[in-house]
Amino acid sequence: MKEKYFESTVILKPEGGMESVRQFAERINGIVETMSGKIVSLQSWGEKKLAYEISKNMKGHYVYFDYVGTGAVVAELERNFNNWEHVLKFMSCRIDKEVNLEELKANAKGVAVMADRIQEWKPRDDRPERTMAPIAAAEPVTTSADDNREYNTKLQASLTKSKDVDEENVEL
Amino acid sequence: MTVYRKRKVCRFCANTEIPLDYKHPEVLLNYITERGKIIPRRISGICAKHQRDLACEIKKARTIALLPYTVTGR
Repeated sequence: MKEKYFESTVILKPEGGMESVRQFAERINGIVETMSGKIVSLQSWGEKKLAYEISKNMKGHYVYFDYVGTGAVVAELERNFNNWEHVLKFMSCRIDKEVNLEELKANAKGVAVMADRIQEWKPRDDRPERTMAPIAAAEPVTTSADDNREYNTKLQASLTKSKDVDEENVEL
Repeated sequence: MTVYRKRKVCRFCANTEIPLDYKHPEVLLNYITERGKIIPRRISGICAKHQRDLACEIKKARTIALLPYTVTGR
């Protein structure tokens, strides 16, 4: 079967903490390597609030990892996730980007080292400055300084008129 | 008086470095309503191609509990 590039995000129960992440990393590494795949990277996003309740948990520890392997690797991993008690939910998808699989395998880092620390997940700060695309030339604005002046004089005239009317009313 | 509206520009076309990905829910949050529904592109001004990708990524983010399916008043 042809090898492809996959990624999986798994929500673990928050009780276990980093120790459970370390165990989880070792187990998935064992499964992937026995099926001649390779884990490229593993990130622990830390404990996060879930958008909705999953089996009475409102918090979960997110672990993300990407790997190279055949479809059978994904099937085997998902079969295991279903059996492990501390896995709340998981999602695997294929990464469509064109990548050199051999290069990815060669540059893969050790899973155990990465599982030891929570990677700061702050994409908002890394965001580059916005550069807007050129917008079609703006059409001329109808209001000019002369128009404003005319409007102001008219307004003042109407105001003075209304004042006169008021005074007349008072006299009456 | 003639009203001139500023032409909406697709944010993802204007800046290709903005991540359109389920792993960045803070970007996707701008394109769902308070109730969690996907905002139509006639309102957000996104191009057809990016709206298709966006809908796909929002649905992925919902699956993995990064975004809600619905937000009820409960």
